[in-house]
Amino acid sequence: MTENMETSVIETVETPQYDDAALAAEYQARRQQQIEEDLAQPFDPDCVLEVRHLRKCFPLKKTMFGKVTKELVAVDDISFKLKAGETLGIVGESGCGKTTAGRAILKLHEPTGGQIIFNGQDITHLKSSQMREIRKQMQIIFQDPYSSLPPRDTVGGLLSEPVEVHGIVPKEQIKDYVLELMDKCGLRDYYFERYPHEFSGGQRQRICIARALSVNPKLVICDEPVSALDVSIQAQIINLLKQLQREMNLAYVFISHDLSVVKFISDKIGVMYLGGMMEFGSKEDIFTNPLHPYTKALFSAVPNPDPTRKMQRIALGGDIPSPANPPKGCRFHTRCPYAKEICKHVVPEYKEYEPGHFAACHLLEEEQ
Amino acid sequence: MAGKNKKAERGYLTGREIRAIAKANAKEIRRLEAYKNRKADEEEFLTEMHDPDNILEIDGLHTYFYTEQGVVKAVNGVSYNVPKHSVVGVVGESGCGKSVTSMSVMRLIQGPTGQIADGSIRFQSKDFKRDAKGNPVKAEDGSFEMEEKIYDIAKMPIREIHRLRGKQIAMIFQEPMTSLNPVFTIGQQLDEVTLIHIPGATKQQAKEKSYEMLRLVGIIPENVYNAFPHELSGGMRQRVMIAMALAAEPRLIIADEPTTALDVTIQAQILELLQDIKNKIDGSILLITHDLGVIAEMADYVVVMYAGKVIEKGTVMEIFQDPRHPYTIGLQKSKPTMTLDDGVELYNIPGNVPNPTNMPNHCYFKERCASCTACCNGEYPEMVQVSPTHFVACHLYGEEAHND
Repeated sequence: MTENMETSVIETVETPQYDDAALAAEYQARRQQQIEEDLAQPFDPDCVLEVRHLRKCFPLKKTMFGKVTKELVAVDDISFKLKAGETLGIVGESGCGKTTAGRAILKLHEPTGGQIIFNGQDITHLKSSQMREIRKQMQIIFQDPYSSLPPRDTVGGLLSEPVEVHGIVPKEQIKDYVLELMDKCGLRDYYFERYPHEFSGGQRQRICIARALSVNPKLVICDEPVSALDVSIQAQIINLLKQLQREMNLAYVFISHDLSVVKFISDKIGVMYLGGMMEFGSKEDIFTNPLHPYTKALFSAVPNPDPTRKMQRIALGGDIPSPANPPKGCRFHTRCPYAKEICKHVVPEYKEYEPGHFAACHLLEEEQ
Repeated sequence: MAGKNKKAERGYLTGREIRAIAKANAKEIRRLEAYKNRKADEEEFLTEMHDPDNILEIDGLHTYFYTEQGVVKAVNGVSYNVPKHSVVGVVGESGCGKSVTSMSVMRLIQGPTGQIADGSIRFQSKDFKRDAKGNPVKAEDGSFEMEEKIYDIAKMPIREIHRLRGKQIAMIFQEPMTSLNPVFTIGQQLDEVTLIHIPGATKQQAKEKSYEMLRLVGIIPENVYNAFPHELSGGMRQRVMIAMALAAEPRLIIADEPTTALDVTIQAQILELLQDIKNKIDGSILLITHDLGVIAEMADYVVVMYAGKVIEKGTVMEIFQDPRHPYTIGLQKSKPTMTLDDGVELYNIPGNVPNPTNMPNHCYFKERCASCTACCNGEYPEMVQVSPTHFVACHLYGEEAHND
C-alpha cells in the first residue's frame, strides 16, 4: 500500500513483454546450479570465516500439516570471506536482514541454506552440543547495553562466568585474568564488585565487550554496538574496538546503519537491501567508486557536518518494501532512479565487476 | 547539600536524608503547582520582547525535577532566542536538557515532579482578537481580526496555555507511532486540529485543509486520509505528523529529533521536506537533535547544550568553522565523517557527563576538558561574547577578553 502513496514517478518505456514465470524458473535453475558448484569448492584456509550463499527464511503461513506455504526471506544468498584481523562492515536500512545475517552466522538462527565455514570447519549442520566448543571462538556484542546484561550479578561475576564455564584459565587464576581483561577494556578494578545498573551506557558497553572477549574469541559479531550511545561515548567505544582488534588479532563483523562509523572501522563493506547483498568490496572500492545506485543514494543521504559543503542528493522516493512481499525482478527497482523495464522482471546477477568488488545491477551489465 | 556530599562518600542515602529531601520537595512542589493552577488575568502574563525580531526568547529558564534522590536541575539557566523566519538547531548529548527546554516551551513538563522553577519564555503570538469571554471578534466583512500579543509562557496558568499549544506553537515528536492515536484514522486526527483551532470551521473546510496539508508534505491524500496509523511506514507517519503540526499554521514549530527513528534515506526525504516547508510557511523552526550533520544542513543558528546549560551559541558557520568551547570542538572531532582520513585514532572526550543530582560548583566540563586551567576551579564561567552573534561560556575566552 505504501509504495503507491508517494508522489514519485518511475519512467516507463514501452518494451517487449517479459514472461515472469518463465524468467523466474530459469533464474531459479541457474542459481541452484551456481550454488551447488560453489558449495563444492574447497575451503579457503586463510579465512577465519567464510559464508557461502547463506539463506535464512522465516515461515509466515503453515498448512494444517506444518507445511510452509508462505515464507519471509530475511537473508537471501549472501557470500563473503573474512580473514583474521579484518573487519567486515554490513550496512543497510532497518529490515534489510543485516542483524539476521549476523545471528545466522553464529547459528543463533538455524540457517535455511548455504554454508558457514569457521576456521576451516563447516559448522552449518552441527548440533548444539557440538557448537558449544565453537561458540567459545565466536562471540557477539549487542546493540542495547541496558538489556543485555543480567542485573543480578556483579561485573566480576558476569565476566568470570564465561571464563569458568569454558575453562579458559585454572580456577585460582580467574580473578587475576578478569582484572587484566577489565583493565584492557578501560574498566577500573574497583568496578569488580559493582552491579550493571550503576554504570552509564558507555561503561556497560565496555562490560559487554569485556564479556565477549573473556573467552579469547577469534570472531566477534558487533551488532550495532554504538547506535545507542552518544557521539562522545561512541568515539571511545570505536577506538577501544580498534585497539583490541590490533592486540588480539580479532575478526569483526560490524553491523551498523551508520555509514560513517562503518567507514571508519571496516576493511571490507557489504551493502544489503531487502535481504540481498547489493554490493560488496573493499572500503576503498565502495567509498571511492560505488557501483550500485543504492550504494550511491545511501552515501548521498548521509548529512554532512560541514555547512559549507552541500552534497548533491540522489533522492530515493518511497519506502523500503515489505520483506514478506518483495518486488519481482531487481529488489531495488521500486525506488531506483535509473530503473528500466528489464529491472522489473529479471533478477540481476551478483557478479565481480572489479577484482574483489561485487555488485548486482542490470545497468552495470549493460555498461560492460 | 551536606546530605549529598555524604551520599557521594557512602554511595547511598539514609532514611533521614530521604525524608528531608521529600519534605523539601513537597513544599516546593506545592508552591509551584499552586502557581501553575492559579487563575490570573491576562495582564499578569503579558510582557514585552527584548528584540522584536525574535519570535521566541528563552531567558534564564530553570526546569527542575524534584526526585527522591534530590533535585535534578535538568535545565539550569538556559537562554537563547529564535529569530523570525529562521531555523535554530539545539544540539547536545542525551540528558543535556535540550528536550526538556522544548517541553517547557510547550508546558508539557510532567508534573508534579517536573516544574518550571524560574525564568521566562517570551513568545510573540498572533491570534484572533477575542472578547472578554474568549470568543473571537468578527469584523464587519465577516473575517476575523488578528492581533499580536506577547505572552510569558513560563508565567501563564496552565489552563490558559491552549491559546498557544498546538495552534501557535506546534510540535513534531521523535516517535511518530506513539504520537499518533492508533484508534482514529489519519483524517479524523488531522481534521481535529482545524476544528479546534479555527473558529467556525465546518467539517468540509477541515477536510479540505487536511487534504491541502497532506499534499504539502508529499502524500497523495486520497490514499491516506482514511487509513489508520499502523498502515503507514515510519517515514509516512512522520510526514503525517508534520502535516498535523502545519495544519493550524503555527508561528513556531518545535521538531524534537524528527528523524532519529528513521533510516538514512527516509531521513534525507524528511529533511528535504522540512527545508522546503521552511520557505513556504510564515514561521520559525526549533530543531532539536543530537546529529551534527542534520544541524549543519538545516540550521541558521546553533545552540550547543551540555548538562543543562548552554555552553556555546552562534550562527551555523561560526559554530562549525570557528568553534570555541572545548566541548564543541571535541564533539565535532569525535564524530566519524564520510570524508575522514583512514588510520587515525578517533578523537574522544574522556569520561562521562557529571551526575545531575550533584553538580559541581565549577565548570561542568572541567573533568573532561583537555585545555582546562587553574581558573576553571572557580565559579561557573559567564557567557562571553566572541562576535555579535557568537557567545561561549568558557574561562579560556573570558581571560582573553580581560587582557584585551
